[in-house]
Amino acid sequence: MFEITRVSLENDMDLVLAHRQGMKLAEVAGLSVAGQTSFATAVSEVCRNIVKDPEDAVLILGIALGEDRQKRLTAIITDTRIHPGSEGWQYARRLVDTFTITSPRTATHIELATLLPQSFNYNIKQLERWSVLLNNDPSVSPYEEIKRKNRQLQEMTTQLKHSEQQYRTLTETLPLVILTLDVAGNVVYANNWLLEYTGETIESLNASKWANVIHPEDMESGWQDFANATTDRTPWKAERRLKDAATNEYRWHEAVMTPVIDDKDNLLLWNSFMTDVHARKEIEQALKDNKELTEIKEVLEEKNAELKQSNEALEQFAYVTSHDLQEPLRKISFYTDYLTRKFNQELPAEAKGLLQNMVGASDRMRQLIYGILTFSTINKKTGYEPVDVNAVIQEAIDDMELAIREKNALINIGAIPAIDGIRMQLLQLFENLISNSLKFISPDRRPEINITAETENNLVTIELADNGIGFDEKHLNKIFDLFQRLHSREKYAGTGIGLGICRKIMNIHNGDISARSNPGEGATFVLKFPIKQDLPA
Amino acid sequence: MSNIRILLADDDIEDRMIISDAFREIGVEEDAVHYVENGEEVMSWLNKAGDPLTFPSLIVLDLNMPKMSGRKTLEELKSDIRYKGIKVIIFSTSINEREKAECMALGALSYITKPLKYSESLETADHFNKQSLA
Repeated sequence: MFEITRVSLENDMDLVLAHRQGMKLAEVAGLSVAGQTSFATAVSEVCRNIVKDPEDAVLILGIALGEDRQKRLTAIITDTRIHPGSEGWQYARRLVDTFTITSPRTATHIELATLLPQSFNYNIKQLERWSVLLNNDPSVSPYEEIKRKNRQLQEMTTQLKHSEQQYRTLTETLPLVILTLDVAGNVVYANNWLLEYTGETIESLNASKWANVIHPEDMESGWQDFANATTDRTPWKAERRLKDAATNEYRWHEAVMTPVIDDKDNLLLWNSFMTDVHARKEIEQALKDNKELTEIKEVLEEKNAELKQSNEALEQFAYVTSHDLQEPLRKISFYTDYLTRKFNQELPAEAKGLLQNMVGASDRMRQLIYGILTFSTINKKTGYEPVDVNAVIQEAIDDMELAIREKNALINIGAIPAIDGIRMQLLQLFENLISNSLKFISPDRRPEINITAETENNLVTIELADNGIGFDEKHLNKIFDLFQRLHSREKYAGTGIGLGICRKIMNIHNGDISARSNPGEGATFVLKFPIKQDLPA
Repeated sequence: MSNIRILLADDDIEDRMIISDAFREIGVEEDAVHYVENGEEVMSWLNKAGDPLTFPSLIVLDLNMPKMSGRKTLEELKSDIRYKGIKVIIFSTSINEREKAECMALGALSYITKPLKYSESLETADHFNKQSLA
């Protein structure tokens, strides 16, 4: 049956209503006035008996299509209790085409119907229109109005209950903390996730203002943001650390807050849901740390490149300068010599002496330039390779054989392990050191140089000890500086570059050079090398 | 042109004067040596000469010259079938072992340092002269 309208049967007023709705439906369905009256009377006769003592009685009016394809104007009256039959029912039975009582033992179910003319057009849209017509018909009485409102209210309550139930089911199912706060920040609703996660109840949360849940560092800003939002009244997001009661760990949560505002623009509540974003926060932090490191590295690399560039420029400058300085200097040497030779007869002895000084000065300058040239060309352009240090020292001694023999010097070499290095530079290093010792020999004894080595893990310490004049250790930090000399040129010739070159070579080999001495007691130079360049010392 | 045995390229006028003075001192005839100022002039001189019979038997090259350096000139000479037979001596201010090794590898006969003393200038001139006659 297609239901058009229904009337709950509670008292005599409802009887009037039942009659009237019966009349109206019969009318729109196209029955004659007699037919209308018959149907409406039959309906009200049945109802009259029911309203005497109803429990949950209701009349439903509608159109039904029978198995015989006949359309019927139908009324169904039901109640949840049994009603004994009456004279009225007998009367009613005569007024309609079918009258059936299909009441089970504990309830009442009466159906009565009047056949509609064959011409009646059964069409759902039309039936819906009738439903609207009968249900929204202007009320004829205040009672009818109240009755209708009551019915609407009941329907809404049922719907509300239903949707509330759905909401609750939904919030418990989603893996989210969902809660509602009032304007003062009190929790008015929270799903189980929040209570399970925090191990608190709504009451305890409100009493403590979440003090046991929100991280102490987030507490003040958290409530401050909440207070500010009360003024702004727009949706907002915040990240807070909340304590997991199960592990006692704080985990990052993102809270999304949405205001609930009524028609009069009053802020009523805050709806909020919180998601665990701890993993994301940790990744963000790691990325941030990584980014900072990368930035620092970039700055360092930039500085390093600049330094390298300026170093290279400096070396280039030193090379070019010394190279170009040689040119005019060679001319001075040459012309001085040329002058002396060519005009030998004409020159007075004093002039020859002065020219000789010029030659000496030019020679010293040439040595100086040669020293700077050497210093500036020593750099780490090539890779390291295993170098037999014993062989290198022997080669240095061979190169300096003349000077060694001239000074009658004795050189002893102990066993020295091979190291990773640049052979030409190591040769230069030992030549410079031996040459230095040969220069500062003591006039009282036969010059002697002892070269020994000691190995410890990846570190070899080579000591070169002479028995020369030595030096005061207060000058120690100076002797490896460029152009630093402890003696006058008249006593000991030299440019002050040799030991500077030694230090540069040691730096290139990731090593260290130092010395110890007492004046008059010889000097010992201490060289520390990594044996393998790619191993830690 | 036909008498020229030595073609010497050096942009430094004093060095040219020093060596020409030495040539004169040891008795080398004036027209046996021709002086130019850079590598480009060496190449154009040879191009103009054309006939291998008129080529010098020795070319002396300073290294540091404008327009075309001694090293570059050496490379060009040794890679040209017409000129690769001419002896080349490098005549430089300083001994740079790497530079010397490179020039020798390119086919230079020798690498001579410019004289610091009068006597050295005579020895150098004598060496050039002997090489041009050998």
